[in-house]
Amino acid sequence: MRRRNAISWIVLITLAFFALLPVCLLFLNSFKTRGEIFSNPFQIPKHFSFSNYVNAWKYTDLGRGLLNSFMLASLSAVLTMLIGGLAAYALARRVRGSSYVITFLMFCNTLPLFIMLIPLFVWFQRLGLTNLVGVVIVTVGLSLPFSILLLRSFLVTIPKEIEEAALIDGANNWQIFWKIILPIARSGFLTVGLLNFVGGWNAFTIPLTFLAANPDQQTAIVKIYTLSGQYTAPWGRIFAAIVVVSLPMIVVFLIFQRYFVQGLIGGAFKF
Amino acid sequence: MKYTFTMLIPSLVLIGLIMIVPSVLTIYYAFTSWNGFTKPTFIGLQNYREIFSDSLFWKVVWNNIKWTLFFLTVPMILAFIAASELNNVPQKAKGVFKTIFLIPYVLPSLAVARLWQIVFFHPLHGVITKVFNHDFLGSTSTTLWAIAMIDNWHWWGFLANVFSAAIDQIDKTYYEIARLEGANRWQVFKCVTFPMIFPTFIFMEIMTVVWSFLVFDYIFIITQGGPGRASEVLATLTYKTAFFYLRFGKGSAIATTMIMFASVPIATYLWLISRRGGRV
Repeated sequence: MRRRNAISWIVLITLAFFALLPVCLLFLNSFKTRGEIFSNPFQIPKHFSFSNYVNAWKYTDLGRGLLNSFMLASLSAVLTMLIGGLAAYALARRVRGSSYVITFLMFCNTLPLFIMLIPLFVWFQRLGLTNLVGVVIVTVGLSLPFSILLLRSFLVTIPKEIEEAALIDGANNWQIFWKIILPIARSGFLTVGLLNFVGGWNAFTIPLTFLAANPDQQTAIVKIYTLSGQYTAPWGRIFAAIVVVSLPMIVVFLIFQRYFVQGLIGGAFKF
Repeated sequence: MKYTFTMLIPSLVLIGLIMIVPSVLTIYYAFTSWNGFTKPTFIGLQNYREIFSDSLFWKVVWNNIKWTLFFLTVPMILAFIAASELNNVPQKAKGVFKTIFLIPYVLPSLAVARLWQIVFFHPLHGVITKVFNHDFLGSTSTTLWAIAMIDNWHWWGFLANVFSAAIDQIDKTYYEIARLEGANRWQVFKCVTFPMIFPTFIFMEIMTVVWSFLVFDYIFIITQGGPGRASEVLATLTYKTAFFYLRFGKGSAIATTMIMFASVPIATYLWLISRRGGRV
């Protein structure tokens, strides 16, 4: 038994090393010059200089990019929770036609982005919506099927009797929603909100396609993508920018881990 | 509280406008010649004739198949090893390992791609390039596998978490009995763990096939389908045909072939999920 556990530890520690080493290298190399990165990426920099971060902030318009990323992430999370939450409730309480709608949503959930990307882009371009607003609308639309199904799986667990009791006690719809349903379903909403927030922040294809000609509205990811296309790019600075974009996601994940995992696993094999 | 169908309307309208209408339009545009600015002109099956007679298309499809084969095996094996070993360590350590394995998954694809591209695969200074004395991303025979490896680094930990959650559902007495019978770790895996998490495994394999035919970010970010066309897949080909060469009709036609290839696993998925009453 002891030997058996020793093997498990060795395997797991090796895998953890495999997962963490590149992340550590990202942080380490964000403090080095381009030359230092290439001569030995494993070396600890002699003096930790923040000049890469200063330069990233100055020359890559990172501040605006981060603000745009935050707007996209938070707006799409909030809107998805509001619009999708409403639908998820109706489905959890089995209004007429619920089973058809659920099947429809599962079908939509499997539709690939590329089957709709071309008409969406042309259409939004004509409407003058190749900006952050357009990206938010598309992002919300695309994430609704998954979000509704996931939210519903949380909401069906709330017994209808609780609401009826509150109704008898004289609570109105608004109070029932804010004082009873929301507190109980909080973890469900938090899960869906978080997944959408992280998804919006990390989004690549839609923001790249829609914001290519609109630098003022580009998210941090798009800005860094545009700057880092060449092997001759200033890598120290780009690594610093990448750390700035990635770190919030790692922090959010570590804080809300439980909800995050519950949503990912739930989305993977139960609705 | 009164629940009515009207609560579904905002969602259904938005889904209809963003997903359904554009999907139907793509199918229509596939039969047209269109540059995205003028009116599309109907040309029948000509786009498809052009695509199917082009050897590049079949090469690209083959790349998608190679990608699928990689993701059906490599990350699955890693995740299985991790998930079954997680069973043998104390609860606290298990939680820490699961968290660590999931960190790469929450990083933006751009961050993961650039990190590996520069630190490990730079054509001259990359760590892996130096060790093997071979530019994996830059040579046509290895580029697709190198990108798959990078994508896998961020992906396997998620699978490990999924499998670990499935293993947690297994009744622990099975393991007790296996231990008392003196089963070794391979026997435990073969006779207890694997059969018990088989439904989850099959579900993830089906989704892997679907996702593999749609893969885009990592390939587009790292090589844009190059060098030459060595790492081109259906999604990058669609994207470039439409947005780089402004052939929106032909791009739409290629996009519809993605659906054709993915439809078999998608149908299987929908069938499984409905048969099990929404649980896979």
